[in-house]
Amino acid sequence: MNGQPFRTAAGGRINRAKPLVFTFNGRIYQGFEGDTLASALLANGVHLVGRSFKYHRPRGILSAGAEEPNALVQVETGARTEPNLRATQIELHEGLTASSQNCWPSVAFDVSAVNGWFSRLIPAGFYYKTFMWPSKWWKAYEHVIRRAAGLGIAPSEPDPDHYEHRFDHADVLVIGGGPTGLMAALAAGRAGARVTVAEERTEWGGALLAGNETIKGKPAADWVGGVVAELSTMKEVMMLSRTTAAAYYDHNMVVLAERVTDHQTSSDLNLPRQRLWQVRANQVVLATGAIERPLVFTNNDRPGVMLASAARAYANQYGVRAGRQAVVFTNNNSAYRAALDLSAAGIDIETVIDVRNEVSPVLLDGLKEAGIGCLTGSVVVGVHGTKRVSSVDVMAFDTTTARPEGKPRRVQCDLLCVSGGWNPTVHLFSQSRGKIRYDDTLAAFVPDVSFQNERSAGTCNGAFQLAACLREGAEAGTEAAVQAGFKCGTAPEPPTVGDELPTALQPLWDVPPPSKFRGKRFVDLQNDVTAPDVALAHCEGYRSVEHLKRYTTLGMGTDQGRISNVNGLAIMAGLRGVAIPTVGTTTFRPPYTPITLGAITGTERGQHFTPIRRSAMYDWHVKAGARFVPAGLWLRAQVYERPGESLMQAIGREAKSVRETVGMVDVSPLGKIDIQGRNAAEFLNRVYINDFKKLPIGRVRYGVMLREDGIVFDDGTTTHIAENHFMMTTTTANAGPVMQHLEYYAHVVWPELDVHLVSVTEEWAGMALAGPASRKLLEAVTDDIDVSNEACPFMAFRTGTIAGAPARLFRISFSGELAYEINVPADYGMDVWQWIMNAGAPLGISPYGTEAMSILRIEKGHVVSGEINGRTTAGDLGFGSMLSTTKDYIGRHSLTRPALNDDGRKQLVGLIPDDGRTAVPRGAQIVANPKRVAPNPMLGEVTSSCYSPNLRHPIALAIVADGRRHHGETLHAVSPVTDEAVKVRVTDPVFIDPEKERLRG
Amino acid sequence: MDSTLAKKRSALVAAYLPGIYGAIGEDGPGIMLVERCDLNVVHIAGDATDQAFAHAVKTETGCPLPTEANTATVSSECTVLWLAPDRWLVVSARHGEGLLKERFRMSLASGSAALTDVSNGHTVIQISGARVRELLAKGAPIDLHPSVFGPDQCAGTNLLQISVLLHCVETNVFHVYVARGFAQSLWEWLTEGAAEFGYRVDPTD
Repeated sequence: MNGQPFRTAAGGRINRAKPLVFTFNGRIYQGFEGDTLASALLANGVHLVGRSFKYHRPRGILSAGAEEPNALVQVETGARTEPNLRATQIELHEGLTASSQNCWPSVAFDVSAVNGWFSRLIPAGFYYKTFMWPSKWWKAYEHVIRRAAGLGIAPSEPDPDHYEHRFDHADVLVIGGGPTGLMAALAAGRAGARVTVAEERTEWGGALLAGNETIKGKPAADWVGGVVAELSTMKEVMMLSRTTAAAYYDHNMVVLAERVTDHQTSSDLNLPRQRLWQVRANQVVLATGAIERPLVFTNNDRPGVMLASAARAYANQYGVRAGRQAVVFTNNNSAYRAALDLSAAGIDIETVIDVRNEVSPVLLDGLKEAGIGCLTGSVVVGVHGTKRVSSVDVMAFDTTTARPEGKPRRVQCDLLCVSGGWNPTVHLFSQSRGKIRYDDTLAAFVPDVSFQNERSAGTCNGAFQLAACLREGAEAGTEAAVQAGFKCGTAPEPPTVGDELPTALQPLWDVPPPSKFRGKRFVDLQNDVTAPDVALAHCEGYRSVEHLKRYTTLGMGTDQGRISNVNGLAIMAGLRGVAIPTVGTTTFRPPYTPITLGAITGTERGQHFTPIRRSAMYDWHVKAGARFVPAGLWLRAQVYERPGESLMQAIGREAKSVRETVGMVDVSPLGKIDIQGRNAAEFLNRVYINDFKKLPIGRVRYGVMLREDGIVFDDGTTTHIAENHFMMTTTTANAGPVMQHLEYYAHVVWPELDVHLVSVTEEWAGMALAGPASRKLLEAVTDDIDVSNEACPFMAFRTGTIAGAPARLFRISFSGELAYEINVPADYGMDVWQWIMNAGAPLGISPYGTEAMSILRIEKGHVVSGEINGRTTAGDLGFGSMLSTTKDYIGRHSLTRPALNDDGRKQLVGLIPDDGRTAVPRGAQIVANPKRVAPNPMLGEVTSSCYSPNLRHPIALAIVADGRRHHGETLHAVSPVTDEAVKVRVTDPVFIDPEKERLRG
Repeated sequence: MDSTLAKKRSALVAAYLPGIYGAIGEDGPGIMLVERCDLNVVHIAGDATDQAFAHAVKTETGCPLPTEANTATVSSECTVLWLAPDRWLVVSARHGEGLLKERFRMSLASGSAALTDVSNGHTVIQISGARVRELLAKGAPIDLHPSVFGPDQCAGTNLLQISVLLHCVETNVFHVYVARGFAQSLWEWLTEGAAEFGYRVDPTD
């Protein structure tokens, strides 16, 4: 640790009483609270912080903000490591660890820097040309290219932090907490509007923090403090600092990314690390400021070349001298303020180099007073020094030829401050679909026509003077509040400010080098795109900005062209001989700066990735050691394995117990719809293909419903509960779609029917009790329902008390056994289930899961989604006789379509392997001859397959062309995916108890 | 048979632990949570323009039928929440299971209305405290500002990916109606989100 040799003796907004220790590239340094990593490194004299993307050239710190293209670092280690963060935005905290990226073995000695020597061989687009052939080698090339060109390293461990989302609804959203934004917030806040203000940095004040302007005759920071204090007292104003407005979407929806604990050494686990805000704003005020443009000249990427405004910010805001001896190179007035401030901070300004021949005497007088020289009509043609600027070459500039002239003069310096003018930050404006226009005076794009309810104000609107910013801010805030419905008369009077320099600029897009002068002129520092690369793109026909971007990678990366775009397209405009607006800009895309995936994900990860839907008996299944399977959002018990059992053994045991004794399965997820009304029966009669008008009270009927196109939609049972009162069940998967379907018909198609639908899926816990001993067990748990075959025959419905709970009892069966379905209010579900399990223990009851349930229904040829697959008709599935001929129902008219009545339609059949042993592959294709060369005509497909523990051989269901006519024939089930082919015999789909004796017994 | 065999169990039974959690500030917990097991919830459907129906609702609940979208009416023993055109939830502190429903059935027998007990299908979580709106705004995309969503207003929305019905009972007191099956997932999400405000879980009875 040394004493921060480049720290000024006093001044800045850092807290000198609070030193912080941090590590960069393994070395320990000291900075102060209020520093960024960049300012703390500069205070320690560290300029070399990274290596460039392609040529691995040494790079330093160019800027002091979000626009930084060079100083990308990897912070922290292990699971919390994060790549590609801009050192200029990282708040210093005690113990911060950061390192350079894209260099090996170290940032000072990077072997890949040899790329620079071969740079003539790898110009823009070289990989498109070089790695095109042989094309199958691309997979090998890709690894090498990615390794050579990659930036930071993504963490490989799970993210230990948590994140969250927040929704906000503002009357006025102000983006930017500089003078303009604060003034706008003040105006809107005083009008009583709900205001949300987002500021990217830690501190409020924006560019005022970096300057030394005065407001109301006092330092601007005093005014900022006063405004922030007033805003903080306003109940309806929410101030979000450390919050980047990342994206502007339709309907004035703006996404903000708030860094909640990133700046803390040890994070408070109760707080999220970051918060993603989705703000729906009635009105938006954009006060996003402007970004200074660098200049394009030879070796303009060397560490020590810095934006003039950044050097000024380091001096004024952080008390850091970015060098000892500086040269300022500019084409506009703003850099003169930087020159004076740097000089005041103790940096020797060798000279100001201004491309313009005529410079306002006010500026020159100011320099003279500070003892600074100025070379007008001159440019910096090149930089010497590799890991740090050591000197620059200066030449006169001939504006008619746009080339340097005469003899170069060498000027010693370790800091070169550059200013090529300012680009208003129009990214969000453009994202909102606002149209931008090119302003010749500013030589920059400014907002033109708004598309949404927003307005730009201040620097981002091209108003580069502080007085204008404050005025525009006040007006924009007032206008926004009025548009949002608040009455607030005229805008508050903007405060007076000190003298300001006029704005004046002479565009300078490229400084071509004198002959024999070697080196690179970078347009895009982050992507290593040079001015000759732009020329190459032009030469090869990639002249549209969009092509230019793809061909050269200009404007890509984390930087997204904030620094480079305007220079790049101005050079292209020059090459094409057209005006800059003709070339246009590439599309500004969200996010403005990268957002972590964690923030985008929010809480929806791990156990909250999707919500879990649990039945009332869920905890019982957990305790019983069930394995679970998702069914939609439900987690259903799949199988209850016992110690020492294989999965298949457990499934087989459960399925056998139902056929031999009794089993119980949780069927709560079945869709249940309460249907009431005077026309309820008529409604059902129109929905189902079979009759429901004559269903007596106390009876259950199986029903099949079709889609409008005649294809089977869903099946289930419907029970006549009481007069004008029915309950329908649907398949678990179709519970939602069936409800929607019924609601649509009830409200839109048949509004004349008096029918009311309510989902009661969650109201009732459902359990199916199945097996020869089920009646005996039921007798033991109810004493007010007569469950004898006479009193409660197949398809009967009864109500009463089961295990002490009010219950609905349905004598229905999915398994084909004597079976009952019990519904109890869900709050009773757990206790009733437990009671029945206890009572059933002497009978050998076994709980069974969805796997055994599936086997039982395949054995019975009952269809589920594999068979009701959106392509099968009632006839295909063997429900043809259910189709009523005496009434109308949904889908009936489509049944006359020829295609639905073709001979050769695929029909439901059963399959048994010919050898009685080999499992029939799921999803296999049915063919007549497995050896036939493709295309082999496909006769059908396997829809369900299992091993039947009751029959002791595999069975399957399939849909096969003309299947019912092929019973007894031998075909082949072929699965090219698993490379299996099984000879199968076609059978009736009902494998067990076709006479239904068990069912009705 | 012993009729006291089966007892009612809350959907939150595995996750519900009364106590104080999270970052408790000087003002105490910012959020208070309690499951309202005492509330009966009945879904009613009927014709809002039918005077007899509206009269029956008023008679049985003491509440005028709310016909404006997303509003609730309250009486000493009942709350009627607007759900959708011609649909409401009637909520009352439990005074005999199904009693409300039976009384209703009697007085509505002649009309076209339908009553369905959905008490078991809904879990009602009461969330109160100074930070209640901030907590809900972590998952609900609707505007929860008191000027927009104040007492006696209700809305169907979602928290995380879970559909809920929010009812603002008092300025800083909300009832969240959630389908029973999702109650535990929602509870876990709510309590994690409430940690930064400090929260207290109260016993249910």
